Amino acid sequence: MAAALFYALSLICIVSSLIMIFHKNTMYSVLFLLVTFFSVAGLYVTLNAQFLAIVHIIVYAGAIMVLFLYVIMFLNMSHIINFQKSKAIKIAATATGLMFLLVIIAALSSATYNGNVTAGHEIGLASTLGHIIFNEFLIPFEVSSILFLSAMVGVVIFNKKDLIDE
Amino acid sequence: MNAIILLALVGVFSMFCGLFRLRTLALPVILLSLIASLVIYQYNMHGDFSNLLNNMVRFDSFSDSFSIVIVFSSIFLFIMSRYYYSEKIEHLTDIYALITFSVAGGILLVSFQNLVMLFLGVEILSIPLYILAASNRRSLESNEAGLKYFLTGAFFTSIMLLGITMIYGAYGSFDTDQITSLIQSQGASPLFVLGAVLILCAMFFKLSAVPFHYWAPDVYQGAPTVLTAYVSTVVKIAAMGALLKFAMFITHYESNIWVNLFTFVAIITMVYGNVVSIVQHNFKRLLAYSGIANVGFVMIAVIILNDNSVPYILYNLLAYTVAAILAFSIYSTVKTHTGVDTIDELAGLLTNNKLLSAGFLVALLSFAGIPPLSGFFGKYFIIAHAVVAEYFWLAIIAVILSVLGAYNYLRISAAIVKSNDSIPAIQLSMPYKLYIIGSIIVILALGIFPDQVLDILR
Repeated sequence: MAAALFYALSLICIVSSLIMIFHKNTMYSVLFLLVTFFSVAGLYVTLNAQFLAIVHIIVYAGAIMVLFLYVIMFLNMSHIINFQKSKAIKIAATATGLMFLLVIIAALSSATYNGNVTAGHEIGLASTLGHIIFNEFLIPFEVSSILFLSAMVGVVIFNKKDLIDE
Repeated sequence: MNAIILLALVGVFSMFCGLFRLRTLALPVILLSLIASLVIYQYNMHGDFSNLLNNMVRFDSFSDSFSIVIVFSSIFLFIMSRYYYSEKIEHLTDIYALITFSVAGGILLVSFQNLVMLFLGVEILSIPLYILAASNRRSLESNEAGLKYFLTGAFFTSIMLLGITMIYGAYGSFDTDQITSLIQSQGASPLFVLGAVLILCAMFFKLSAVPFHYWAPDVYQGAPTVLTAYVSTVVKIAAMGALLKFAMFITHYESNIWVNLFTFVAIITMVYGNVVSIVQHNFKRLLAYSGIANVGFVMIAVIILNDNSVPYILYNLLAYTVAAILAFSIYSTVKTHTGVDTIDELAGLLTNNKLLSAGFLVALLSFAGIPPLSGFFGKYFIIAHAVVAEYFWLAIIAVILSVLGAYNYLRISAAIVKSNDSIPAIQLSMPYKLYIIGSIIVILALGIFPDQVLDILR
């Protein structure tokens, strides 16, 4: 049952992300991205990471998706766009991408794995996560506040009216 | 840790200064806090955070030396920014706050001990840069620079994350010490090599090493000059510190791959930077390419990687930094007063502006590597380091290319001393004159007492 669920969710995830990349209409791309997010959240649930699944849906399927939709609406990109690229760039990009894929496949196939990993029942609970964040990862957690603060300052700088200049 | 907390708090304080109309207070407080951070590092007053750190960051002699150079250089940068931005800029205190946050990120980056901290350090260092690059909202070029820098930077951030994930996938840990012991006990996994290469790509991007250099000239040209000076100096010191620390970490695994990789990058970076800079006419673009060339030069010491590499690299970067900030500062002063943009238009600067030209010439001759200026010893130590380690052909390439690079700086110097009085005299305030004289003294002092400086950096 669990295996069947895993394969079904993985299939949905892979197919919808491929459609997202190859669809010419950006609106459909965004919708299939949404499907991808939900199927990944489903995978998290099967791995006992309920909290991560909920956060994933709230943050990605909620906030980031709204952002994408707004950008598409603002830029009026609902019609099909044909990018003009020179052949040389296309060939170079394809070759580079395939070479990178080859490297990843080679590395993955020659790596050794230490048997099957079974997720503990406690692993995805909010309290477990909290313990890890406030013990082991306390410094990164606190330090990231500087990161978010500077991002917020950036938003203010770009959007506030220049009172002195005008 | 105390210095990072101090700088973060002072950044917040600087924003409050803007809120309560106390703009003039922000800069002195930031400068004081930078000097306080220097004291913290010199006298090892990191504070006792041992029960919280969990081996996330480590403050040892390596990170102390790098942090001292980062903080020392940013003092010059803040003084430069005082004269670059007029008091009337609305977001002056926010800009100061962003640079302060970024300096704190640089210090974190050179003290990382855990790959999570590596990622966070890079991000805290970079996010303010993207904002600052686009902070001149009226200028189309600045907007373009900001967007370009942001998009390429975000792309390389994702590459770095992919690399970190690969390493985590191979060993199940972010801790470099644990990974090192796992590598020694069970051998290196191919996933680890792939991950390390991806992380190195992101670091080469931050250092603008070839083949990840293409953003640098456009961003340097379009961004406000203070940001250009910051990206080409302090950011490179921090990124080089991270690269050196990461190189020390990955060479626990068979070092041949890495030596070949670094050698390849160092040589193409030096060749590309020096050769392409010959055909540049815009001063900021030229310094972008000369910065690229210098990164290739410094990377020679990363290839050799022994106990002497750290002080030599730091000396070279410090010498480059002080001269570059001075050159950028004088260039931006000349540009705001006269509208000069290309190198040819700088002709005859000496006729009416003796002090500005003197500062400019000292900086340029230091870049070119004329003794007794600090740039000479910066180059000398690295080349001597290569010779001692018996990398003769690398030393020969470095010497040939630095002669080629010197041509560029002498070309600008020749333009400045031309007898031509097309550039009118520029009125300088007293503190700014003192700043130029102070920078000249520092460049000379670094060059006259190189051994004492190396002792401090060790």
